[in-house]
Amino acid sequence: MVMLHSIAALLVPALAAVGSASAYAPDTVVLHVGKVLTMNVSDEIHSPGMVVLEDGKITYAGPIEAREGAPDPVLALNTWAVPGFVDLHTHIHSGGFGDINDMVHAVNPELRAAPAYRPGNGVIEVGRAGGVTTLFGIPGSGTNMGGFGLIYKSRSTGGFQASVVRDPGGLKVAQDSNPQRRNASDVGVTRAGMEWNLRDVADRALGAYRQGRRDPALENLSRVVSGDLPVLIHTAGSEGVVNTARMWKVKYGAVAVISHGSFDGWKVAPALAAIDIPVNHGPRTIDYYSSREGRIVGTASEFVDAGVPLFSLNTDSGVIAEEYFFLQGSMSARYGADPYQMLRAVTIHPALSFNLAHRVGSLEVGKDADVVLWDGDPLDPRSSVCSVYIDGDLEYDRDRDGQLF
Amino acid sequence: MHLRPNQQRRASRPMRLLVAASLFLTPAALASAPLDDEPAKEAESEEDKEEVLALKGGEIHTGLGGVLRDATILVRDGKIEAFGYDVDVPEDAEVVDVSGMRVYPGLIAVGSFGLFGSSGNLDDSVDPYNQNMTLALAAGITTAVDGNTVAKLKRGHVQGLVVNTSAFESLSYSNGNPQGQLKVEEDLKGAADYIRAFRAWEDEKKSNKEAKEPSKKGVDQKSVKILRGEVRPRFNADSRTDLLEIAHLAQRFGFRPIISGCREGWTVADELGRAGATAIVTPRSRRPKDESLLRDGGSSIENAATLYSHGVNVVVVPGSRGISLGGIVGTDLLHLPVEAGFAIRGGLPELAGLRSITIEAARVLGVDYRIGSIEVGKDADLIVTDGDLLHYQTFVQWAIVDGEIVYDKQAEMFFAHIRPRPESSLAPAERMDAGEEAPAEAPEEEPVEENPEDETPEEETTGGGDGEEPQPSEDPEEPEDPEEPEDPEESEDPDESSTTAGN
Repeated sequence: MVMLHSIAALLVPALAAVGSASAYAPDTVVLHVGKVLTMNVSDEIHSPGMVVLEDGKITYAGPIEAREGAPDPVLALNTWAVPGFVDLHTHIHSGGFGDINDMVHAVNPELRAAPAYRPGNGVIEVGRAGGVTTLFGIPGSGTNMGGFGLIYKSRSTGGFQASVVRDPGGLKVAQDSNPQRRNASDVGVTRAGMEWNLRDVADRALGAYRQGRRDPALENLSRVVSGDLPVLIHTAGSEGVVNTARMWKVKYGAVAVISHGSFDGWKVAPALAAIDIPVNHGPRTIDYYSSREGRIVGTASEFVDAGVPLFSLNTDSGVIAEEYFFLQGSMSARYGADPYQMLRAVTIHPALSFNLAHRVGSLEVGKDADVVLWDGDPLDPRSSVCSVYIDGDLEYDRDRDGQLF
Repeated sequence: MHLRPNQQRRASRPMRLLVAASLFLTPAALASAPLDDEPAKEAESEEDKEEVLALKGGEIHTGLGGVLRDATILVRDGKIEAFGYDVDVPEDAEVVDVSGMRVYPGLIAVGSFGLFGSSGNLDDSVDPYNQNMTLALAAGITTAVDGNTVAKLKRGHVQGLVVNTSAFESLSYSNGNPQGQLKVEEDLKGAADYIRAFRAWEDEKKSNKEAKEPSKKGVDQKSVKILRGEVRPRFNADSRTDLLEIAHLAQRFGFRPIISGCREGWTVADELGRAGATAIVTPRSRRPKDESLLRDGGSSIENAATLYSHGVNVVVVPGSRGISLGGIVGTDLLHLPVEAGFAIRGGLPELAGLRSITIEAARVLGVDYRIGSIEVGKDADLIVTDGDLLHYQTFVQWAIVDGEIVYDKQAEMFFAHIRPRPESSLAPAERMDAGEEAPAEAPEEEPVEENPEDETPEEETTGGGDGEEPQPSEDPEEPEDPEEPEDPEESEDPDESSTTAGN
């Protein structure tokens, strides 16, 4: 009896709490929107819909329902709630193109992009007004191995700690075109030389990993060849792309993502699909000259149609300014791809291909509350972003901050 | 010379006749044979003289606000003869069924390069089968300014392209050049005095035969034309200061300026509106704010909308005035409607967006009496699209210049494979906006082995190995990746130059 009583005493306040405001944290945000594009595996779209953001996480994404005790909902029924975009190939962490290439050595497994990072810099802010919330900020492609990038959110508040998702976030490798050391009397003028540069250091890192030997210079690279950290590889052209894919995915078994895949790279899309390697495509999204077919090839649709898993897009910002990330999807859709696939290519696919999907890329319970409200189809240049929530914080609001983009 | 037969043409008729004819358009042929000129036309058979084209069943967007659904446009001898619901189509007319499609006035690019295959005098030298001309037509552009010449993209013709040889009268009036500003003011003042004296003389002449005409000596004739309203001067200006001074100058002397760039126009839109300005803007072009100034500044996506709402006429041009097939998409003439879309993003009404690349462009060039809208009597420069012109997936199906079909999407290699037009040419392919409920039969295929045609990577590496390397960059201004941060061409960073200063 005494025991029952005490249980009841415990239960009563708990039950009361459910019905009262105290069940919701004061910073809880309830969004009522015209459409929720969850981008989850079952492609759920709720129209109209509701998203609840609590403690920086999404606790609900579904049809509109009454919530007793919850804060008044934000009524934005003329907007679409879309996951914040995830761009895996960006160079704007320093606020521009500076500070991204250390051009002395051909391979730089020791280097990290983090020291050059300026959280919430002006270029990032405009990108955020274009719906981009998660970025992989990486070294340039001046060398074969530029170093390790960091994955960060486009937050302006909270500084480094609040914005960085993973550091190092992954490795940046460049295996074609730019890193060719044409003017340096050095190994690496040819594909053969570049491959040797990379294989040599990767083998040493793998050796250290297998022997359990600690080598500070190769520590992070060991995590790549052991499959712990992903690697994004700048590569282009059909020969270059296949070469790269085989080396990183087949030989080392790394979590490898092909980046660019430009020019006639699309022609080997079936070969990439066969070994199940994700492609992060851009900034070029059409091909006319390289394939010499006389037609203007929308390369995104070629990769998707060939069955490449986890096809995603990038801006290579600032080659294309970050805020035009959506336009990479629009133009790919223009030139033959399915628009919904292109929305995946800027949200859940990049997240999945870079081991980030547990936190970002879709509107699902438990994920980071990175929600972007658009006043229409996000791929339409005529639509714009109304609000950007990152980790539940309203980081951009068109009415509050003025229309940045 | 007429390059097409006068026969009932099917919608998808390829343009092989045009292509075949191009073989003969060598300079020698031009010299020896009259090609497109009047005597040759006279010599053609009688039946070829009356060219009648009817576009039936389309949704006609006049460009002035009118929308006529399931209507017909009748074109005779290159002019719009009639359009509407009760148009009698003559039996000998060439009829194109455009049901389910939209008809717009041809677009006008107020700046271009490389569309005519030559520079200089387009009356003397033009490549009528220039690839870029075809691609610009594919973008819906039927008239473009090349240099200072307004010309039609009259594919297959070497004559009759030029509409106007003096598109703009440029004037420089920049705060950075006070001497130049002084000169402009003096010229205008001299011209104003001259015009006043001239008018007085005209009055006096009626009573006094001996009255002496005022001397033109030392009077800047360009300024006279400007003040008489015969031409509107065009300025290149972006900064608020320059824009304000131009607006004041225009109001002081009473002319209407055309301002190219106008990136900080939104900060002084009321002044520009009062001056009756027309702004030629690129909604996406950026200009950093001068942080040392407290007042508003820098570029704004809302620029076009703000200018428009203050009475400034807005014309849109893309950032790149050429055709770029280097791979980076969406910023060149091939995507002129996309650029207008960005003006709409910033709040410009949809119709003003359409007008910014049609009638307003024609007005600024002084050719709106001929082109820029669908009106009876105007040139039959039309485009037929498979949807809303300003939607990112819309393609131009046919482009018509002076009543002649000069571009057919299905007859050219470039885009024929993308959402091909059904042969019936009825109803365009089903299209959905991103995020529309996807049809049940098209679920996402997560990485499924598609058994990609037995192509092993090995075969690929050797198979393509003809030693041909993909060029790292077809266009040197579009780097694959930033490599040389010190190269200003590769940097889009507005802060780049001030990096050291900021540290």
